[in-house]
Amino acid sequence: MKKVLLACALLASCSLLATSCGNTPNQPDNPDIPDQGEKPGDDDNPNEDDKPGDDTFDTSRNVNLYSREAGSGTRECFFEGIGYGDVAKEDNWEEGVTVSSPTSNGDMMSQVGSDPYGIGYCSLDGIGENKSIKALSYDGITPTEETVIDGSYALQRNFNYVIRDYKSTTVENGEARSQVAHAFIEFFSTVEGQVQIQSAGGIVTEAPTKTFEDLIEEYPILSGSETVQLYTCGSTSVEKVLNASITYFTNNIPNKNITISASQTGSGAAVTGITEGNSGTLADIGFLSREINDGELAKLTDENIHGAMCVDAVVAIVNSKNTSVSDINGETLTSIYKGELKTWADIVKAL
Amino acid sequence: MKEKNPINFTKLIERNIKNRKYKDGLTNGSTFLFSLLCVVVLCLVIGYVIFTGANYLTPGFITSNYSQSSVALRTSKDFVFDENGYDYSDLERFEDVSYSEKWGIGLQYGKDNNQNNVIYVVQISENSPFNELVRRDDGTNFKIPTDMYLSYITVQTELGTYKTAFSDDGIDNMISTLDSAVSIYDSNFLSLGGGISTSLITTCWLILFTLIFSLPLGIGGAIYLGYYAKDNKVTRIIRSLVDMSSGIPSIIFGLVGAAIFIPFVGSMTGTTGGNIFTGALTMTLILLPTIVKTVEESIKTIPKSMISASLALGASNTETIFKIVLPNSIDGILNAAILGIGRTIGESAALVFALGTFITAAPSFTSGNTTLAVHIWYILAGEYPAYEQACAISIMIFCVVVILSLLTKLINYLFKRKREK
Repeated sequence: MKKVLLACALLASCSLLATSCGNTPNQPDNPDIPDQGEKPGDDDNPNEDDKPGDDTFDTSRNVNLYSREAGSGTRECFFEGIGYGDVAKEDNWEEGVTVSSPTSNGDMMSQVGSDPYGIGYCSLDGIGENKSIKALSYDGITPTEETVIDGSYALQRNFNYVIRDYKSTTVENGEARSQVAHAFIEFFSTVEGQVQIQSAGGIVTEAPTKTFEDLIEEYPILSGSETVQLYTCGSTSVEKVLNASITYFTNNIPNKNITISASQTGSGAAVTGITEGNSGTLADIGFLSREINDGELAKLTDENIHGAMCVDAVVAIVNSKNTSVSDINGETLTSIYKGELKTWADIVKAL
Repeated sequence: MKEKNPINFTKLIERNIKNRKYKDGLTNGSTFLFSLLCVVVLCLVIGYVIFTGANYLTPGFITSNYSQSSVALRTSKDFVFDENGYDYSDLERFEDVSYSEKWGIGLQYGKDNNQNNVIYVVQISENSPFNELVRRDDGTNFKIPTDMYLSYITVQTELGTYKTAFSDDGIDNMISTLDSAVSIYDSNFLSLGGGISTSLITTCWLILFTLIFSLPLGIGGAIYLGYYAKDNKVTRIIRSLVDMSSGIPSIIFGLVGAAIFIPFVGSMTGTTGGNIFTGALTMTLILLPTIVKTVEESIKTIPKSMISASLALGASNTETIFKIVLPNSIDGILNAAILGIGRTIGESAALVFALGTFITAAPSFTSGNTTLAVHIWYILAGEYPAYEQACAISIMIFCVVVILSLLTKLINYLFKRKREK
């Protein structure tokens, strides 16, 4: 009998623990699962939520730094923007500074979201409804679509594209691929294309120049039946915008034999992907979440048409439990990432 | 000096016993503590998976495709909104549905596979212009599908400008946008997307082919080792090799699968890259040791006298195998099959190489696919890792594995009882 009781108590405490760990803040308790915490003996079990320091923010704690990996366009934009360009492209951290490197926007959000004393940055379009993190305003300006469009929010960058040079590279079906690639790029400036960008969190700054129907008329291949397969490469930050655009574009052109596959790995792969190719195959369109740099421009020919697709903002983020800061500036961020401001109390003082 | 009597000696023993009790208690306590730790960790893992994923494990998630399909509809180009209004009296009114009085449609919130709110068009009046919407790609009339949600609607206002209302901004915003519209310029209907149906079907196919390839080979091997093979050096070496190969990490089998089976299957069927067959052949390699061992153990339990009796009655070796050995080792074969299924469902590392990592729109025998386990890897490797969906898939895999292991227990129990009779 004793053993049975013990087992029951054990199960109850385990399930309680599991409940407190398993519930991420952005989702409600599951009503379907009955509450097992009513058995006697449970009251002695300290619930994790009751521990001090879990809800109250302890400013004497050290700041945990998070930064995307070298080569990320988001990283480049962020560090160039705050005025700490030394680490924008390489891991030239000051001595003694440890930085965790999440490899994607989502990864960044989930890591900072589970570290109350962390600070990081990510793309504005990704934040959406994520309640475990808090976006900081920059120089007193909250990052929104409006502040990005009017330019008052400083940490912003273009999502850029660059198309393969079909004339000087040999490719099967080159003319058709070139047509579709150019049509797809022009799709971003149609009424419908801009809506796709907006629906995925991207920000458009220029008015549409044409409609989807105009585009289909302009490129006869879109209403033919020729099979064309395109590949895109480059930035992972554009993934959301790109996928939404591809879904609409390929589903709603009369030619159903056109497919576009996105395999995004990072902005650094955009220009190499269309000029040299990754493992031998050249991609058709490369995307960058930063400007094309001089070294990359040198590789491009006149046929490599490039330009901006939409605008995105990079936002400094902290855990939602962090009550000490809500606004930050470039100088403070630089000092934080240089390791000069070690604790949250230091940061509050510096602000 | 008489005080040093036997009583002191017994005290010593008593103290010793006390000490021992203390020590025993400590050792027993520590074993209890460690097993408790194991149980707690197990409960935490299962609890985390269930609490995170349970909400996401919906019928829509299981039956829908990973990629989204989109249908964009508009009012035809010569459409003119009738200023006299339309008769929408046939619309039955419900409390939880919001209506656009101008266009005669009812909108309601639903959930997509990310548990985000999305808007469905649930009611359309017979007289509504929404019945005459045409597809943007070929201009044909299209009935609004009930299983697709409205991701946004772009309308043309009286001034000729475009105005877009997104699903995210809520129904009220969408209805007010509709009220200001004179024509529907673009309404994008999306299928659920993010589902696991293809991976689920592929997993079933993979299990089937893996069993077809591995069971005959494994049973053959087991019959050789358990029935024919003499107990000599060669047999012992073979046995230890079988044991060893069950310890090889599966990713190495995956490499072998990619290096040997992909070109092999490719040369026979003309496919390039991994497909279900290369995946099944690789899984066969992984499963063979388990199958050989399990079936052999079961063959060994058959009484020698039964086999001798069969042979003495004039039955040949082949007849003895098919009539005595195999029927009596059926429990081992079933166990091996179930273990194989469990292993196939849970395997991911080898299949990343041998099967592929592309979640396709439909299961294909000629190109790369994913199983459920690889699907988990895929959705966690993306730009926005979907932990909740991964947990939902884990719940499915977990349930299947639990059911399978219970089934093994049941089979063993039934056959044990049968034998005792």
